[in-house]
Amino acid sequence: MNIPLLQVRNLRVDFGRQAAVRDVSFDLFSAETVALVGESGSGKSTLARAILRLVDSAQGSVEFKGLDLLRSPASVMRAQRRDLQIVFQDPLASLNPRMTVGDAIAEPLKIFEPQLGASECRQRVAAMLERVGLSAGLASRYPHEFSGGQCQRISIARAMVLHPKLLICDEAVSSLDVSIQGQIINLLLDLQRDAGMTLLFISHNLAVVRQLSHRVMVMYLGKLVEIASSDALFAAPVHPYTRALLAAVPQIPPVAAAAPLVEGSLSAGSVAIGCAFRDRCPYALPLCASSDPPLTELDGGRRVACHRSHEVLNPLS
Amino acid sequence: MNTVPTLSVDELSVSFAHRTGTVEAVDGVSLRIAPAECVGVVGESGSGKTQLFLAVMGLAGNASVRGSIRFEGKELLRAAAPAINRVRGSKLTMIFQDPMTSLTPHLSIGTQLAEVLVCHQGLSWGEARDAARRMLDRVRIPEPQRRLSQYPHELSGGMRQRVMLAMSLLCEPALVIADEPTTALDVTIQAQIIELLRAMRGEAGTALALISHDLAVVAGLADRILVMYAGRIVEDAAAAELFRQPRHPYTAELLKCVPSLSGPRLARLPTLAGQPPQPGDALQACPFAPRCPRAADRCRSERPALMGASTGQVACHFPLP
Repeated sequence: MNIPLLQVRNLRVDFGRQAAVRDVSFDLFSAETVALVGESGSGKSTLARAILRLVDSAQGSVEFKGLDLLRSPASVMRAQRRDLQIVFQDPLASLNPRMTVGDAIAEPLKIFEPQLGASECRQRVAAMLERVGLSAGLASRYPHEFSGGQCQRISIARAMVLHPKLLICDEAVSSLDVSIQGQIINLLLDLQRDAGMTLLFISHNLAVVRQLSHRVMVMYLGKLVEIASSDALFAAPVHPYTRALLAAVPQIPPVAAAAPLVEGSLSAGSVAIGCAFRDRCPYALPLCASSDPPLTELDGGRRVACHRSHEVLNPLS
Repeated sequence: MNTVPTLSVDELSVSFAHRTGTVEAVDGVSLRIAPAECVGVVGESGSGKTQLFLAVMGLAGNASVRGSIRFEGKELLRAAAPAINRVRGSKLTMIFQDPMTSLTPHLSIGTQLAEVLVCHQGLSWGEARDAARRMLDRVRIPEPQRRLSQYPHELSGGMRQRVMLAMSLLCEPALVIADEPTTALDVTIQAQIIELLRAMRGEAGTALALISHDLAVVAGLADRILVMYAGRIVEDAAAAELFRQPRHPYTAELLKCVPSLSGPRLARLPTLAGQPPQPGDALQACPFAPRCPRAADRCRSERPALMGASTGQVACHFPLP
């Protein structure tokens, strides 16, 4: 068995009295692409930020290469950051408007490789710009001179310039037009293959996720409710929420939904006891109101948090 | 067919002053929308789809608008303000992407809805609130009576979009323009709104112009689809036909880029080379020529007109068969 690159155990993040991430445990292995999907408010971004210690966790552990990040002193954590990078949704908001894009990409190098000479630094930046499909001559331009897709390439270049072990993409292609989206995803996949990096890809677009991920984790109101290989999940989703998510994806040509559409919307009111999805779940039983189903392993390594997951072989009704 | 189209737009141009000169956001667009028809308008950001319909609503701001916009046969573009105000918001309505910024935060839902009927139909406030409650029920908002006294921030995004839809339908409009009505919503909520729009379609002969960058959203609703690129309509076809056999290379390339939940998983996603034109870019005769796999010299010298039968038109010198 491989040793995981990242081990998250029982992670909990509280915002006031509200838990944004509840008892989340999973592993990420070297060179794999894992998608984290769920609706807005499900806690995907908070989970990503908690892993990177951009928000404080209330409980649990995040082990990266055997080191517990949450309990490391700030100096140790800072040294790890070169291996842990993140790309955010809005590329213009994540680039400093008063910094040339060349300086923005060089900044991580100046922090983590201060011994680098000026000309060598310039070369690394130029090579990285070329790698993301932009001309090295653009290094002296400012972010506002680029389109959204180009700014996202620049953000990726900045994240990749230190060759991180783990790259988290938080809705990194969601604001881009479909014609540009494919270019950015292919770029990420190329970079990942060349560098053997692990990619945690946060998205609400299931059709994109299906194309690029090895495994998929589905999150609902702060909890992981299903973890499965991409092939297994898209062939036969088990958790009723996963089914509803898949059924809701509009397709060309239009198809009749394979599962009932869920009513209502994500609401934090129902999480205190029982399954958080029960109010919207077409298959809920009285049991679901009293006991929160744990994430349980089924055949083939798939893990599902649903009291009725064992009934999946017989159609749920 | 002799029926008067609900909307006729002819040779419409919308231009803005830009530091590099004038930018044509909409460049000589003509279109018809028939009563009760659902027309999808798709295109990437910057293709002019929103500006086109803002001009139709008379909301183009400081842009210069030329051409003709006829609503139920009457010219809107050069009409006096009172004449426009009679149809706008009653017979011709528009809903936007972000329902939070389209609702007034300090007025209750009931007041905002009833106001429409008080202004446009002269109803009393009491009658108007009753009608508003019935309309909330029609767009399947639970507990409509209680919602009337709630404020926009008390509702979820999906509920707010239902309120916007209810508002747009209050005066039995002839045309509802929906600009990215589901883009800000989660996928399960989007499916609920699409379902609702589908159920509303054709009711009372209301036509729908559905603007979206997402072909799949439009696919489930539209009878006919207009594809826009760089301020022009490049293809106009029946929805089923467009997806089965796109004629414009841009439509074909765009469709290939849409990731699918079925079919084989691909090692690499299909992409469209290059970027859509940015404001101020010098356009070639065919603006898609720089990205087009079929482009030839003629595409760089002669502007292709939108041509073909009434069922399917394409603006391309070398359309796909």
